[in-house]
Amino acid sequence: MTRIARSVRVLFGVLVLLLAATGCVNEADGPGGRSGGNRLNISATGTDSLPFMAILQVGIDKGWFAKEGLDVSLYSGGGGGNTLRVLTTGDADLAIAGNTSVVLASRQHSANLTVVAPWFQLNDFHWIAPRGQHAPKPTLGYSSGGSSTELLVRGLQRKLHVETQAVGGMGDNWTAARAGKITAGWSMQPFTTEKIQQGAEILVDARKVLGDLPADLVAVNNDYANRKPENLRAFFRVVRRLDDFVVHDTAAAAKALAPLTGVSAPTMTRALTDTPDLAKGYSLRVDPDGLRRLSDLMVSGGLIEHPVDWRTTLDQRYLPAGLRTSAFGG
Amino acid sequence: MTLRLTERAETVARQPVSRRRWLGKGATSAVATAVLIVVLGLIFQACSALGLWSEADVPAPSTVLAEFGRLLGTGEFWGDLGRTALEVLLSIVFGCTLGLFAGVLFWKLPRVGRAFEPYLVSFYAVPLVLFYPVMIVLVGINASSVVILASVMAMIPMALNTTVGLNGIPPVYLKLARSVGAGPRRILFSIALPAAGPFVLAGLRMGVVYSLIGAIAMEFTTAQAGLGYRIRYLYETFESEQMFGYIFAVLVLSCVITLSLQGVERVLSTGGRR
Repeated sequence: MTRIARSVRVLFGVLVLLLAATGCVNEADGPGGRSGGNRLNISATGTDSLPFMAILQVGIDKGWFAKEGLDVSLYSGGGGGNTLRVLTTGDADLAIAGNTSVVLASRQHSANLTVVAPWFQLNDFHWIAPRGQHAPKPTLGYSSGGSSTELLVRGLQRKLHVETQAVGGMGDNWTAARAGKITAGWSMQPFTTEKIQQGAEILVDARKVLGDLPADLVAVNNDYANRKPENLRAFFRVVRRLDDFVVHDTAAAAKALAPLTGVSAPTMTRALTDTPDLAKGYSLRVDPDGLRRLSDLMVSGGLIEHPVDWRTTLDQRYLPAGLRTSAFGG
Repeated sequence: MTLRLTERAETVARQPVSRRRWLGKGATSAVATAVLIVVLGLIFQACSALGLWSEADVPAPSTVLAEFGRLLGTGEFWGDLGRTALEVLLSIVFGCTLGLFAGVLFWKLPRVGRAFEPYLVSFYAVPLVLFYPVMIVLVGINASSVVILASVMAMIPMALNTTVGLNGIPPVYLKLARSVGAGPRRILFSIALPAAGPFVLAGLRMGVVYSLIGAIAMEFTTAQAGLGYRIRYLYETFESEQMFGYIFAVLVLSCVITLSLQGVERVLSTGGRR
């Protein structure tokens, strides 16, 4: 009995210690911290693999956000679902995530978020295969159900009569293509350039078939946007500066981006110079045609019944004035 | 009076003891489980009503139940359920049969058992989904890869438990069987496996659970249909209510499989006698 009582006391003590320890954690230090002052918690997909996401880290490293008075922390989420959920819970203030996820989330009132800008409005998606690997009816891999790559591959399926298969990330797709289990897997820069250097070839260039559309969309938590609108304007001013850096000083940008994405500086330079319209990709200037194309693809893919009304869906007020579009009216 | 009491005692004694106990324990367990679920549901409902979290993140249980009811009327749901159920069933059959066979093999050939056991134990501790890139190369990406991985996951606990159970049989059982002229097949099926029964059944239970986990996890990654695929799809497209409806369906499927397994266990442990 005494032993049981002692065990219960020890257990209780451990629980109290654990509670005290968790209470001591300063949540504001992590990406999940609540916003205070000029803090801006950003959740983005692929900050460690995609240059148009990694530029945010470049902005942090160069102190450009700090110069605008922003204390930015970056959380790298995988896929639209993960990236957006931290926004809806209020753990992140701003999210940059897959186009379809953001549009669908913005339609739910309880998600408490607003789409404020398109991001990387260049269709940089390619389907790469080992050189010489062709098939009469090729099978194209994509990441997973509900992803941007699925949206594109369904669009390609309608135009090119190809088979599709969910495989996973770019690495898994390349493995599957090399093993002959699919004909080609999806890729973006710098992965495309890196694999071409290793003997891959582009089987399908999605831009040529489907045209340009934003790879991602920027969404903000409504509470944060109401409390700190100036922070969002400052954020976009820095992004504009970062975009200009990539477009006008590509070699220096490649050098800064290479270690963040795990490729060599020459490969990153090549990847950026191989990007067909760098100035369009690295620009916040709203491309209405791209947004309409995204809406059409979502309708034809069965994700939504009616086209997106961008006039009410896209809140451009935080973007620098010269980068907004009036094509949607309002 | 004395005679009546004796008759009553005899009547009670004639009832199988295991059945009497099982009914009592089973009813208590069912009520306790139901109460627990209801209490948890009420807590979640209250938290949701109080706005502790957004409906977009975690819908209230009443919303999830309503969504589940709506899903039951859609063909898509039944298609996904059918696909997952088939994959899980095949995984259970293949995994547990292979596991049983491997367990018997390791018992009969202890050297083989000693060679394989460390690897099986190591494999058991590793999430097999990590081997996905290897699976892509070896078996490709289709329903068979889901079944293969889930079968492997089911096979390991079955093999390990069967081996442990068979190795734990008192040697006197086997000596006695041999002394009365029982052949190897009879020894295995009439003496060894029944003696190792509790371990084999524990392995079967774990194998069934692991096959469900393996199938759903693989569908989450690679499939284009099934409950796991649909949950991932709805997660990415931010349709939380439907997603939780599907998650609830997986829980129901898990309960159905577990209850069916309990029935199988009861039949096996009583040899079909009531």
